Amino acid sequence: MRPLLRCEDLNVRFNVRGGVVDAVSNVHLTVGRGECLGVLGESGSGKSQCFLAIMGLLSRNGSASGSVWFDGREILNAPRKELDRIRGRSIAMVFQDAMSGLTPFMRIGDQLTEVLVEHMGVSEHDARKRSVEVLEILQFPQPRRRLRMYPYELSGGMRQRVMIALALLCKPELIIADEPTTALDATIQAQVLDFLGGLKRRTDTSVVIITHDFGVALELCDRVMVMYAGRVVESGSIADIVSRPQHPYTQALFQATLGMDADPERDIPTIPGQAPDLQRLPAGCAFAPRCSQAIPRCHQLRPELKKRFDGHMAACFVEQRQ
Amino acid sequence: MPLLEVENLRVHLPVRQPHLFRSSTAYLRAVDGISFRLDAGETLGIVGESGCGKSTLCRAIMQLTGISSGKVLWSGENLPDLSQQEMDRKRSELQMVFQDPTASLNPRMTIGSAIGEPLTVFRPDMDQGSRLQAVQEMMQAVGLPPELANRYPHQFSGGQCQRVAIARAMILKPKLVVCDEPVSALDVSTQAQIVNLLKKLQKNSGAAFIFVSHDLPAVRYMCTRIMVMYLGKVVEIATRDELFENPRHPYTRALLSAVRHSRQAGREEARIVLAGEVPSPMDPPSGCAFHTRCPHASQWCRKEAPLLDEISVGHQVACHYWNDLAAEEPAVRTASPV
Repeated sequence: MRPLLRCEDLNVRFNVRGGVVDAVSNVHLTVGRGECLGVLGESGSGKSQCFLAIMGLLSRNGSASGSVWFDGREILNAPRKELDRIRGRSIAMVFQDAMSGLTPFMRIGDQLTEVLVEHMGVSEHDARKRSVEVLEILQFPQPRRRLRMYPYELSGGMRQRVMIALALLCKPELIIADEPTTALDATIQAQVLDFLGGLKRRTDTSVVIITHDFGVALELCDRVMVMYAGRVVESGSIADIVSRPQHPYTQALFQATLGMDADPERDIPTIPGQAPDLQRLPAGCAFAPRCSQAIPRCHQLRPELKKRFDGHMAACFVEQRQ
Repeated sequence: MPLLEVENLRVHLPVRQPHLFRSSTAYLRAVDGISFRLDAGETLGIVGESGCGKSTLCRAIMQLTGISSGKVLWSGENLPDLSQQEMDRKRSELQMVFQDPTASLNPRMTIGSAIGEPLTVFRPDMDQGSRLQAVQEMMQAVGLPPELANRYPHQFSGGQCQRVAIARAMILKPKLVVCDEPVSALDVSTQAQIVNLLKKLQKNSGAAFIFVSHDLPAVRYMCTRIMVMYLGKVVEIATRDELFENPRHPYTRALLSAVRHSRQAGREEARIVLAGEVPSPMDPPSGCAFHTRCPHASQWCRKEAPLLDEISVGHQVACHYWNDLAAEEPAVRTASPV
């Protein structure tokens, strides 16, 4: 079956003072219908820029090249009119910071109904009904009353749910959620994850979750793609990524994530050094300077993303023992 | 005598309610009757969600905010009673590390002078040579190469800035270091480095630590005793192992289940999903503040606030039903989406 989203050799470059920054390089990905893809990485890994490029939302000094097909249609750098038909209606994006994602001087209700009236051409009255429905699905307390409120009157968790509601209104085929729970408290995070999990199970909406949190990926995703310094270093099923990670960065990231079973008497394994400067990337593998398994070749040549076993790719010269 | 003893501490912050004719002032009960003690060299963790008052509690201990009532006894001396000068002298003993390292450092000060500044203030008789040496030693202790002393904060990553902030707090060899979400703003790989560093410093310096975080695995790793807060009150306090193995308050259980669930590969354990939101501390619910979200709440909980009961040595819980909840498996409530 044709994947819903396919992306080939996507590159994102920013012009900055003193040169260019290659924020995303050579990314290939597919998202099937009803599938949930996790994109894991730390800040600066290019995980957000990759999807902002797909949505045509790069900042003005950025440019994207490559190909992106949504439902068989090329959408990368498509004219704005065409993108507007897809964005919001077929692909919706949930941003991390719910306060800046909402218009501060518009009532929640108006922001929700506007989307429906614009994209679906329904009447104001029907739009309101559908908005309340979606808020109810999200277990939003007293939705009818809160439609009259402004964003500042809502708590962070409620704002985040308004953002998700905005994304859900038009029943999109693909939802891209950028760190949807990072700004939320533990118990609210549990509510939102629970909801996204349910959405995936009950409808065949495809979901992309961009996150730095292994726990979130573990809970929701079928497949995961790990990014480092603008490139995909490993991709595979969530089970394989967790049980037999092939890239030293994935291994190190997993070990550095504190779990509830960590021994308080022992040091947490860490990744030495810090994330590389994208303007001064080393010649070989970008992770080599921090890698405990690096061999001389890693510092000279950049490893390509290669198949390790069925459905699993890694970009590393070092073979892992199975 | 404990190093620090907090007795029935209240911090009610005035919030103006504007009105055309009769503006009034309401009070936000950020910290509402908290008592605990901390021994020298101990590490206490404070967990809770945003708005529960954990940061205000830290600021009140440090005398960075006025208190409404109660006592903050530092080696037996009540800090709020001290004059400004007396308190300023005490500050060399109590230090704080804030969440956002880039915001807590002066951008125009080299990191060497930032780390050495506490010495210039509190040890004016120290000569420049020994001050420089102390700064270099401190930089080494926090894992910063001393040759970077002449750089500015903007040349550093978030993790390195946090190392600077920690060095600045530790250089006076304080008896208490309060860390307010010290790793929340950092990336995963950097978080682990800073947590390791804090743990090492805590062991080597013998200082007491208060470690505030919403990150339970980090708190569990760092602390020997943990206090759980909800809406300005303590709901449970116990040693680390007791709290994680035998949590009694329904809120603690929900918090723990939220983390356990997402961190482990097996997904079979059902998660407790609390309904609703944290109520506003401007208008806290009657009775037990948690009753609006508690799966076990009864009429009793709505009317009467439970007191903090000592249920075993060092384990205190504020719940009417802690004993009934003991044997029972945590009640499972799953949201029903779509």
